[in-house]
Amino acid sequence: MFRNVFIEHEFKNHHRTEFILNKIKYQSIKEIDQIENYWGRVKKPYLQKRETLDLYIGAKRGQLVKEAPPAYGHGSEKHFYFIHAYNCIYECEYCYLQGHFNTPDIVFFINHEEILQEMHKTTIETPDCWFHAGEFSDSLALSHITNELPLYFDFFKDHPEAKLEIRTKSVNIKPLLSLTPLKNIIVSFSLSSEFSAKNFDLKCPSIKHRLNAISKLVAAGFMIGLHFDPIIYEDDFVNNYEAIIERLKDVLPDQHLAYVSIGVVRFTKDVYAQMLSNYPDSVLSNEVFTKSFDGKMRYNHPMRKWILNKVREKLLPYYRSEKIYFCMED
Amino acid sequence: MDLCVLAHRGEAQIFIKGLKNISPNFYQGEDYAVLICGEGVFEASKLGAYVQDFDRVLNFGIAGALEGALELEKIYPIRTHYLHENDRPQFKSFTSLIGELDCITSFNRVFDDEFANELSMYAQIVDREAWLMAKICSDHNKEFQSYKLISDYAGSLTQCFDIKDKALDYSQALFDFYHSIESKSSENKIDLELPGSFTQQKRIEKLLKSLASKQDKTVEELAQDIPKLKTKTEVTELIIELEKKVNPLQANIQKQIQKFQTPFTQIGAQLLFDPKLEKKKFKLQMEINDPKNIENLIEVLQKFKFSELEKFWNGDV
Repeated sequence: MFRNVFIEHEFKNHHRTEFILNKIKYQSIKEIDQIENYWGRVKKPYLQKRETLDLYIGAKRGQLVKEAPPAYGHGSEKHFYFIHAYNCIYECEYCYLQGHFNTPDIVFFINHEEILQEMHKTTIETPDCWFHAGEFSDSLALSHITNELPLYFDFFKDHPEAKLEIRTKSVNIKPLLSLTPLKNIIVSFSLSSEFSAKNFDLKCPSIKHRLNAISKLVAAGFMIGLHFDPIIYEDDFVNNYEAIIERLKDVLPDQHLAYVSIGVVRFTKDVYAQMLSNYPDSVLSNEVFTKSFDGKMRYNHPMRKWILNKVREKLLPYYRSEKIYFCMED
Repeated sequence: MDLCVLAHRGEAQIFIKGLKNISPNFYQGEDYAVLICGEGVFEASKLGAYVQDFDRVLNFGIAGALEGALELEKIYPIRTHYLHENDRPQFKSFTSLIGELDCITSFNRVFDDEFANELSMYAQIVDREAWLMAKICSDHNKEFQSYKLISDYAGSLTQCFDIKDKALDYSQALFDFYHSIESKSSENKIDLELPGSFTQQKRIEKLLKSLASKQDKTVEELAQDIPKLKTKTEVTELIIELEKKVNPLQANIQKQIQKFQTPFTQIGAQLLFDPKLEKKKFKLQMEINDPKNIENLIEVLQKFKFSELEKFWNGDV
């Protein structure tokens, strides 16, 4: 799976490093002083991830918990995110990681105790805040390898006022099912129409499999969050989104839904340039986007509103309106 | 035409057989040309003087392996080119997205294992020229490919003398490899021969591409269905038609805008929206040279419902 595994000296014999190495296939191990001295030091093409990926294991330094940007999450509470990984095994054509980092190589930060300490400090000031995992990676896709979920579940059991969002497109739910669900831990899935998932979510589990995973988690007692985000306009848009929502309501009853966010596709200037270069023949590359209110490339305002309203309209018969919100819109 | 660039005369000896010697380091044939640039990053800069005259540049040469798993005397296509300079890697890289191995170009020869180990953090192969060639080609928007024959393992075991002895064999192997590479397929450019402007032509190409990927057809297939157009107006109409097919919602938005504009156009005024449709405002322009103009404008404005515009703005299209 990985070509080189780069391990910081300090973590060479760490029990989590050993756990990870036992779970993965790799060609060679190289010891390094600090991840930041190697990872991203040279520009590696994003699509190189299709053939080979390197893995870095070490400590997250600097700010371990960061406040999320405005309009990030649901509700009026403060939102924070913590970083325990960089990059993703999936390849979504719209993904902002393609223009965000200089390399597609994956990083596992394994100093979870330090991250949790910072989270604890944050909860002293704002006990009812939200924490989000998966800002720069998929929170579940490799969790059977990284095995950090039990630690975070323990933390949130002891901090019942704080909430955690584990955001994913994966169906790797086995590590979750071995844990007791907590009301303040929400597993959120990114969803779209079948057409969109098939065409833009490359190497990701299909919508059918994602719905199946939701169904199993609901049966186990987990609370679920949903992100219809980023939505891309397609032919037969209304019918296609109606179809997915009809299937969704059969596996996810309102009482197990924490929230649904709806967001329309958007790109920073750099990510847009990377997307055009990586996927020149994609439908997405030929869409008409314009520079919007915050400098990001988006569909024009009436079109965005139409998309948001249509999806909301289709959700409303099955889910309470206060659970539905628009993400990153003016 | 291809330009084959090799660092050493020894590596190039089979390539230049039968080619016309134009200058001491440049040979011209009917199908390809050869530049012998010399060893090292600075020498590779000679490519700059020739690159513009060729369709693609191919670099062939021997290189050192930085991983034990690489086979000696095997030729590897290079995926991404990196540069190591002043004891550190340079950020900028160039990729051909062929092959699965990367090459780091080093300013210095690699004679010790510590240096080889440092380079191996970034690539599996080390050479002395390819990064700059890739950069020159990138700057000139030319296709670049690089193929490296592994002559030895870089580090304390580097054997320059053995390599010189094997130069003829290596040159033959590289030349045979060149012949095995599929000849460059000419890119299909769409030539619609339409009377419109360059911008219109580009817009049509983009719309056809989009439609092709939606309808699972080729651009050429779609282009065949386009009738011969004679005027710019016809081209504009074609663009509107294609836009409708590609994105019916956008087409509806445009239709709605026209609906707002028509009463103003009819009295000689112009209702101008933000071209990006990001700002909820419009400009009204009118030349007034008669009291009737004012009467007409008052009448149209009285009928105009701003609430309708707000509904449109909020997605009612």
